[in-house]
This record gives sequence, C-alpha cells and structure tokens, in this order.
Amino acid sequence: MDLKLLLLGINISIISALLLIYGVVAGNSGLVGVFASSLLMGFVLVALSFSTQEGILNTYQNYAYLLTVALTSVIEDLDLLDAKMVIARKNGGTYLVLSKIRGTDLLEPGIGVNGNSPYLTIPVDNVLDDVEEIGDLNPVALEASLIEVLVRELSICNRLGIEMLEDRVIRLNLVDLDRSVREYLNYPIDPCTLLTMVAVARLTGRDVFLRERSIDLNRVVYVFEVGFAEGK
Amino acid sequence: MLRVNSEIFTMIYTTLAVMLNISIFLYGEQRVDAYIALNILCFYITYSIARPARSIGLALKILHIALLSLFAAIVGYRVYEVLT
Repeated sequence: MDLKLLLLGINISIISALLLIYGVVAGNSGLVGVFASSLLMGFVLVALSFSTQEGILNTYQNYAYLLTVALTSVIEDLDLLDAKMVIARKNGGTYLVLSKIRGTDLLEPGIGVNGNSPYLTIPVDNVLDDVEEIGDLNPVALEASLIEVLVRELSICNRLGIEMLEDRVIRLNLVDLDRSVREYLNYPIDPCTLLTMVAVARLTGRDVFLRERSIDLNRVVYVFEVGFAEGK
Repeated sequence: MLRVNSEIFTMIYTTLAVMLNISIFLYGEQRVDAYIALNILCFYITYSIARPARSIGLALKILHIALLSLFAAIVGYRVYEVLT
C-alpha cells in the first residue's frame, strides 16, 4: 500500500465532495460535473494506493527469489531435500540447521559432513533479534506474541492459530498468507517457514524442530517440536 | 525525479483530468455525465501509457469493473436518448 497516494486520494475526494455539494446547492451543473469528475479522480487514486507498493520491495523480492533458488541448488547438491529443519539456540547464537541427522550439535556455520551425512548450518542471529522471550511454552501467550510478530509486524499472514498437540509439540496454522510469501512455499527453505520458526524459537527461548509442514491453498500448517531432546 | 510507474501514472492522469475538466467547463458544458465519461477516458489513456502496478490487485479489479460499468451506462443512456 502506498500511504502517500492514499492520503492524496482521500484529500481530493473530501474536497471534491464538499465542492460537489456546493455545486448542487448553487444549482450549477457545470460545477457539479467538474467536482464529480474530481471525486472520481480521488476514488481512482485511493484504489490505486492499494495496488501499488514501495519500489524497494520489488528489489527485495527479486533478491529473495535469487537467494532461495541459489540455496535450493546447494540443498539439492548436498542431497538434503528430505532433511530435518531445526532452529537451534546454542552458545548465545541462533542457527538454522538442515541435516538428515536430528540434532543441534552441527553448529559450524556453512556446509559440512558429520560421519557420512552432510549438513548445512546458517547463522540467523540477526533475524528477528528484537523479539523478546516470553518464557514458558504457554499456547495463549505464544499465539498473542506470534500475532504481534507474524501478522502485525511482518504481514506474513492475516490470521494464525496455535494448538497444543502433546507436551512440547504445537500445531501452528497460518491462514490468508501474503501472495509474495506463498510463492516460495514449495522451496526447501522459504521465508515464511524460516521466519516462523525463528519467531517461535526466540519467543520460547528453545530449539524448534519442524516435524511436519502441509501447504493448503491459502494457508500452511506447521507442527513444531519445541525444546526437543537431541538424538531422539 | 519520477521513480516508479505509479508516480508517472498519477502525474499524467491528474494533469490530463484537471486540464480536461477546466477546458470543458470553460466551453460551457453542463452535462455531468460528460465530465465523468471524459475522466474515465483519461484514466484508460493514462493506464495504457503508464501501467501503475505490475499485477492487478483486488482494488484495481474493482476499480476497472466500476469504471467500465459507469462508462457503459453513460454511453448506453446517451445512445438510448438519441434513438428515442
């Protein structure tokens, strides 16, 4: 949304509406015509403001696409397409670990091999670093905080819900996903999954393991294990 | 300096619409629908020169439907008037 255009459109609409009323009261059809036309112009600008976006966003979208494709190629070459995804918090740092072995001890950033199994570790320390920990795994508090981060701040989706499946296992339902986020969902690492996992890890202060992910038309359902025990 | 298409669109569309409004007002036109129809024409002329958004969002779809319906109604009404 372009806020400047929206304000311009609303201003033109209000002033035109007032002058249109004046034209009707004065009985001058010419004035009514001019201001009806201006009112239409105001409506056009308001509608347009909802369809345009800041130019810099296009740059970031292209960049995100480039990085996602590049990362997908690396993951394919490492044979990690069916790997487990973990957000691990260790030694004061936060890492995205992609490995076939479930564990968080593979924390050397970059590509490596543990035994016969390759892994990919990406530091995500700077991602959502202003999100504060809420402490215990309380689904109500976690849902409220996630709405604040994922809906209000990042606009990833319009609605979300949390359900506690078992002890330490939650189901997170993101509904009405933004179109620009939705188009990356079929890649092994996508902005929506990564940011959601980091947000949960930061809020709970624990490791987050992605157990399941299912994509529907306009929503995605994640099952996360929060604070899992290694080697399980 | 104009940077994005929406800015170019806004500039051309508002300039065209204001100039056209002033011109036909000074010409003494009293029909309200003439002003609106010409404004819609301005919109589509400008739209063909500088497309404001890369993809058509819901708001723009509704706008197109509303403008085309309004234009069709105005033209239809005038044609009906001539025929009767």
